[in-house]
Amino acid sequence: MVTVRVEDVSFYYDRKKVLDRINFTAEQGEITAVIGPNGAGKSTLLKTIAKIVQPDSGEIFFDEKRLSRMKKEDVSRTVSYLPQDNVIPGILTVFEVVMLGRIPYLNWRIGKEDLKITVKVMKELGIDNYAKRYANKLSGGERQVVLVAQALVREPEVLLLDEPVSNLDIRNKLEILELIRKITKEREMTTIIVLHDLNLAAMYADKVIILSGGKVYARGRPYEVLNEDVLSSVYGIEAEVKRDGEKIQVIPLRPVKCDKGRPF
Amino acid sequence: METEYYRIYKTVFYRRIFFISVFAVVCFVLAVVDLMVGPISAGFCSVLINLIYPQNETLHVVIWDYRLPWTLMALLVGGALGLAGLEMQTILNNPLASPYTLGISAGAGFGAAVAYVFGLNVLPVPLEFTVPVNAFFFAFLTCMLIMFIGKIRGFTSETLVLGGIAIAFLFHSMLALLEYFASEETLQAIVFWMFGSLTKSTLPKAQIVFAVLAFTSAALMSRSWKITALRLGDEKAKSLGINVERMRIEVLIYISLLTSVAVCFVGIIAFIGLVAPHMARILLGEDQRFLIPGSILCGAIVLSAGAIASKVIVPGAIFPVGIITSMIGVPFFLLLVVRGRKHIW
Ligand SMILES: Nc1ncnc2c1ncn2[C@@H]1O[C@H](COP(=O)(O)OP(=O)(O)OP(=O)(O)O)[C@@H](O)[C@H]1O
Ligand SMILES: [Mg+2]
Repeated sequence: MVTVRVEDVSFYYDRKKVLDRINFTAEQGEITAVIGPNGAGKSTLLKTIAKIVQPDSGEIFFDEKRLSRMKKEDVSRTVSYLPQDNVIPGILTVFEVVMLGRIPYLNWRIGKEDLKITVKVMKELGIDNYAKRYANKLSGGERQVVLVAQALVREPEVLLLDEPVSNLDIRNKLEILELIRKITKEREMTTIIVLHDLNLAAMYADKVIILSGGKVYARGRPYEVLNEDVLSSVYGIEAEVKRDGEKIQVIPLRPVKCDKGRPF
Repeated sequence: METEYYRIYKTVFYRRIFFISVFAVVCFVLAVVDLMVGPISAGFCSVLINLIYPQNETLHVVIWDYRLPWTLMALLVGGALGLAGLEMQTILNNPLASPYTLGISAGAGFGAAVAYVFGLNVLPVPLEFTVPVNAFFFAFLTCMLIMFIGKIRGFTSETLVLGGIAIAFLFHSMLALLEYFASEETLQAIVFWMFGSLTKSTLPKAQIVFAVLAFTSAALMSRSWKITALRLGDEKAKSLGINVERMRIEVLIYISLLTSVAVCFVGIIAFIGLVAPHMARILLGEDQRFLIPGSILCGAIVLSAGAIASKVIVPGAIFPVGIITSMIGVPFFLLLVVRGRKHIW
C-alpha cells in the first residue's frame, strides 16, 4: 500500500497561481478530507495527484516513487479518481459505466474477475437493481453513486474522490461515507476526499486539510483544526463549534461582512 | 447471485452477437442480389454457382469482370464510411459528425478537380489512378492541416470541428474557382465525380480499400475499451487513465486513411457515414467491441442497397449511387429514429 506525499507543489492555470507550495502527507488506511471555499484549488490538487495535470514545481511521491516519473498506465492502476462533475453522456448502461472503471485490466473478452468485482461493488453500493438502466437517465444522486462505484471497482491503492456525496440525500451520504471508510480501513487504502460539509468531514476524516487561496491554511485532526477562528478567517462565517472529547460539531450561524469581497 | 449477473451480461452479449449476425446475413444477401441485377439478369442460385465456377461462361465473365468489382466496392466503401463516421462521432463527441465533417470531402474534391483540370498528378502513377491519387493526397493533406491546428491549440472536439470547418470552406472556394475556369467537359467530369459513383470500380481498387479497412478496424478493435471510455467525456476518460489527446490523434489518423481511400475511388457519398453508425448504435449500444463491426456492416448494407437501387430505378441507366443512397436511406433511418425505443445519442 501507498503513502501519498505532496511536496512543495505549485500549479498555475495560465498565469493564475492555483496551488501555492502545497505540503502534506496522506497515510494509508486513513481518510484525508480536503476542505476549503469554492475556488480554493481542491479539485486542482486532486488532479495533480491523479496526474491529470502536472505541477509546475514540486513533486508528489507514492511511497518513494516520483509521480512525475510514473507511466500513465501505472498511475491508473494505482489511483482511482472521481471527478467533481457527474454527467454521464453516451448510451451506456449502469453496468457498463461501472465496469469501465476496470479499464486498465479489461481485455477484449471481459474476464470473470472483472464481472465479479463489478457486481460486488454494485451490490455494496445498492445500485445492483438498476444495472441495466441507462446511466444518462438516472437522477443526479443515482449517477453520483454509479460514478463512486466506477472509482471503487478498480480496487485502487489511492482513492481520490472530488465531492462524492454532494448530490446525495442525508442517508445516502452517511451510507456511502461509511462504506468508503470501511473499505479504506480494510484494504489499507489511502483515501483523499474533497468535502464541503464540515460535519461530515469531522465525522469521517482521520485528517483534515484546509485549503484557502491555493495554500494549506491548516492541517491535522478534525478536532484540532476546526475552530471558530479558522472558520471565520477561511470561510468568512461566524460559527459555533461544539466539542465533546474528540467529537466536534459545527453549527454555522451567519456570514461575516468582510471588505475583501469573495475570495474568488 | 454473481452467476445471475453473469447471465444478464451473457444475454446482452449474445443479443448483440445476434444483431451483428443478422447484419452480416443481410449484407451477404444484398451482395448477391447486387450481382443478380443488370442487363443480363440471373437467379440467386446461378449467381452463387457462377461466382465459384463457370457453369455459364458469359454469366461467369459478367459477374467477375463487371459486377463483382462494383459489388465489393459498394460493401467495402460502405463499411469504411460507416466505420469512419462512427469514430468521427466518437472523438468529436457529436452526433452530427460524419467522415466529411472535417472537410476531407472538400479536400478530396479539390484534389480530383486539380487532376481533371490540369491533368496534374502528385505522384507518377498510371492514368487510371490519377484522380484517386490526387483526391487521396488532398484528403489526407486536409487531415494533416487539422492535426496541425490541434497540435497548436490542443485536441479538443471544439478545436477540431472549428478548424475542420474553416479548412472545408477554404477547399470549397478553391474548388469553385477551379470549376469557374474549367471547360465544359471537365466541369461535367468534376460534378459527376462529386456525386459519387461506383462505375470506376476495379478489383485492385477493391483490394486496396479492403486492406485499409482490415488494418484500421483491427487497430480500432484493439483499442475498443479506450474508445468506448471516450464517450464518458474527456474528464472521466482521463480519470480512467486514458491519454485522451493521443487517443484522438490516433483515431483521427485511422479516420483519415479510411475516408481518403473511400472517397478517392468512388467520390463523395454522403449520408452513409452519418447514418450507419446511428443505426448500429440504436441496436447495439455504445460498446465499441460490437459497434465497430456493427457500423461497418450497416454502412455496407446501406451502400449495397443504394447500389442495387441505382441499377433498377431506371432500367438500363445507372444513377450515381451517391444520389440514391440518401433517398432510400433516409426513410429507413427515420423509421429507426421514430420507432426505436432506445434513445439515439
Ligand atoms: N481549466 C481551468 N482554467 C483556468 N482556471 C481554472 C481552471 N480550472 C479551475 N481554474 C481556477 O483554479 C482555481 C481553483 O479551481 P478548483 O477547481 O481547484 O477549485 P475548487 O477548490 O475545487 O472549488 P469548488 O469548491 O468550487 O469545486 C479557481 O480559481 C478556478 O477559477
Ligand atoms: Mg472542486
